[in-house]
Amino acid sequence: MRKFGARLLAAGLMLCGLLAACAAPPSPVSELRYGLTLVPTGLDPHINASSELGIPLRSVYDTLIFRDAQGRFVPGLARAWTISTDGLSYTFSLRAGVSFHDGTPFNGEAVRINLERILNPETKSQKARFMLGPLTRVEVLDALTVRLSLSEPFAPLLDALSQPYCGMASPTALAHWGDADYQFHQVGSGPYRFAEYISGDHLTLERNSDYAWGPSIYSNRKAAVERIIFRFYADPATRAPALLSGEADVMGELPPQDALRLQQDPSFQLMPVPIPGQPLALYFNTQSPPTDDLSVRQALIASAGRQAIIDTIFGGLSPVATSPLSSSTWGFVEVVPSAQDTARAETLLDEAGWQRTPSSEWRVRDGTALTVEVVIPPWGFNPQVGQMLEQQWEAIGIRVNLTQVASFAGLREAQAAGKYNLLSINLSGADPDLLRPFFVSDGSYNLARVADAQLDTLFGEAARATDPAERLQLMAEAQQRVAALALVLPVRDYVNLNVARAGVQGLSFDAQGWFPLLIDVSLKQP
Amino acid sequence: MTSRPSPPRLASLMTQDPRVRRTPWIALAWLAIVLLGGMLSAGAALNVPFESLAPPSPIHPLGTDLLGRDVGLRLLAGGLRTLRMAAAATLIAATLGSIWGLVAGHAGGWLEWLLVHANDVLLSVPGLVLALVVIAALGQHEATIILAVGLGGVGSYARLARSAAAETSHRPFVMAARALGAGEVRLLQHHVFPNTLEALSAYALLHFGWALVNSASLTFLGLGGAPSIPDWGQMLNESRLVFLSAPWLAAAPGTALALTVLAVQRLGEWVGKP
Repeated sequence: MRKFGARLLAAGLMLCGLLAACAAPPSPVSELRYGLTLVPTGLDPHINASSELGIPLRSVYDTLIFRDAQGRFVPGLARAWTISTDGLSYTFSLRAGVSFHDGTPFNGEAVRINLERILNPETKSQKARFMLGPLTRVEVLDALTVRLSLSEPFAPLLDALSQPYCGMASPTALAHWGDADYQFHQVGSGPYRFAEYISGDHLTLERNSDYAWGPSIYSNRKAAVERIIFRFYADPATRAPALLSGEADVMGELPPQDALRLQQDPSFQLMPVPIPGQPLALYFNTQSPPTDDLSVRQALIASAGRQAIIDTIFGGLSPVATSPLSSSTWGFVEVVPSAQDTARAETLLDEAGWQRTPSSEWRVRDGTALTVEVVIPPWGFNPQVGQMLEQQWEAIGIRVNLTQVASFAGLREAQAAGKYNLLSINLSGADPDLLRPFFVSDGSYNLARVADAQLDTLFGEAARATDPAERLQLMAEAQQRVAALALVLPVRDYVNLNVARAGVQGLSFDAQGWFPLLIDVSLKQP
Repeated sequence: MTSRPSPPRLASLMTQDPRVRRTPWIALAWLAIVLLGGMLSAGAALNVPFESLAPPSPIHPLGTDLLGRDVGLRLLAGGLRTLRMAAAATLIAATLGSIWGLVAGHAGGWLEWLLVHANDVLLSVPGLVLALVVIAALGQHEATIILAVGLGGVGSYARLARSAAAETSHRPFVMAARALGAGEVRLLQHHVFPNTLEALSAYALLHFGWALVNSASLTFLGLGGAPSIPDWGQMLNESRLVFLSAPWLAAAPGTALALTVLAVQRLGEWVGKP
């Protein structure tokens, strides 16, 4: 019996040893697990448009130029560039000795093939084509010099060329896989190789150990982490649990309440990154009563308690938006003061004839109650923002009909039908030119239904001006004009709430705000 | 020592009578609370903000939500809206489905063949998918949800009504009435329909639970169209974004929905088993 007991003990000890060995295998490769939020419908940067795809692909592709944290353009695959005085032709001198992950050399011909692929209507580019604007021709002057010709001056071109949507892909791979399949077999020249993409499940990047041509915005010359696995967490409620359970090391777009909780936890770090572009904003329909009246629009803006909205819904983690551009965007000027002024709003409404009466809860003019129709999408806390605005406006006698549509298509339908007083759409991007389609009379996002000669001129000239100082001046005037006409109620600047495990070091983001510079990330073992 | 038998207590009397014993008192009481509470809260100010995400306390027995609104009040008001949507949807499903099935079962022949096969096509589409199609076509609104959930339930009613009607239509009293010259509509109305009523009404209560869950699912998906009007599905959806900080926000509408479906099912069993 004693002998049996001893054997049992020995067996038990061996089992424990085995289990311990299984539980802590020394990791042969350093691996980062990165949580993405949306499952992109397609991952080809030249074709598809989602912001998510740039998160992994920023590190797969190099671009001709890069944009630093201050918004300045710095050399990338192009060593230098010159712009003709008429702004119609850009000449790039390319870096020598660069090769794609498949060994194909990078040269002028590669630039031509890439840009022509984007320009080709058969590629059906959803974003990159529009970013290149009036680019019409790409000529290879010699092996390492290319010239881009435009049909009219277009200042946003450099920003476009600095984004992963215009990343340089291997011509060999593009030709081999074709437009439909290339997204699964991408080949760039960046610090990470595209190893595997299983649609909707995961995407794996592996370190490119031959990388030796990083731009000055990268601190490291080579990537520290050997492998990065991206997985999708489309439902915001699952993101904090994935971090807490150790399933992910880094995650973006956490709900503010969850971000605040994780910030209290010493094993996590919160990294809020302001996203340039448009803030969460509601656009006034200037054609539909009662918001066809400037005083009503001004009253709605003055009575909106934006700081209260930020504090309640966004946990104080976003700045109040004070312009149609968010404050981290190049060219931003503050034009819509953030303070709530209900007294001024009440005076404006009284003077416009919308009187409070004892018989009605709402302000009335000529027997009609003051009612605004507000249309919002379901994402980005829009429903919560809409409901707080409803509370605030109802308090001064404005009736609010809040309608939530299900999708972006629903917003566009509402826009086309025109049956709204306020509608919420926002886009992101580092170049202020993204406001142009919102405020020029024939713009595709003219939600305000405005036709103002001054705005048309200002935005048109700003797009053509190649002198940055002149552009800044024109953009400032344009924002002031938008505020004077009270076309938009800016609510909150978009801030991406990234949370990383405490051991993740060196994580930073590029000028677009969305895209991490993965080459600089390192892992400290806990 | 002998003692006099104690007088029978009311409670034991109630448990002795089989009719009383089988009555689902708890289920009825719960539904009464939901209905009365909903009616009483109708005039209350649902959107008044207090402290954001306050845990349950004597002042706010179920706490407050992200926007600082009293969850208990919204739960009561939302319950009425949720029940109203499910009831209206059940009515649509019961009416259309019964007519469809009764006509098919009573008529027989090619008309029955056509209606039965059309119904099979309808049944092959899952109710929630059909509902999403209806909402995509007609827009997001409470009325659309009612119609969508209602149409999703027509198929099963039609099938039940057809088999009940087919069985009744061949019974001697119906044939006798026909021999006496009663028209088909009169036969359906006065002879066939009353004899299927019991089965259909028992099913209606079971179906009501299904309609409740389905309409709450649609508002959970944000298809109700009006975020400031509370209902249980929408409250569940709102709770998800703050689940780690305020789990009670999910518990309240979730529990209420589960209890209500159970209560209605229990009632359905009671009606179905006389």
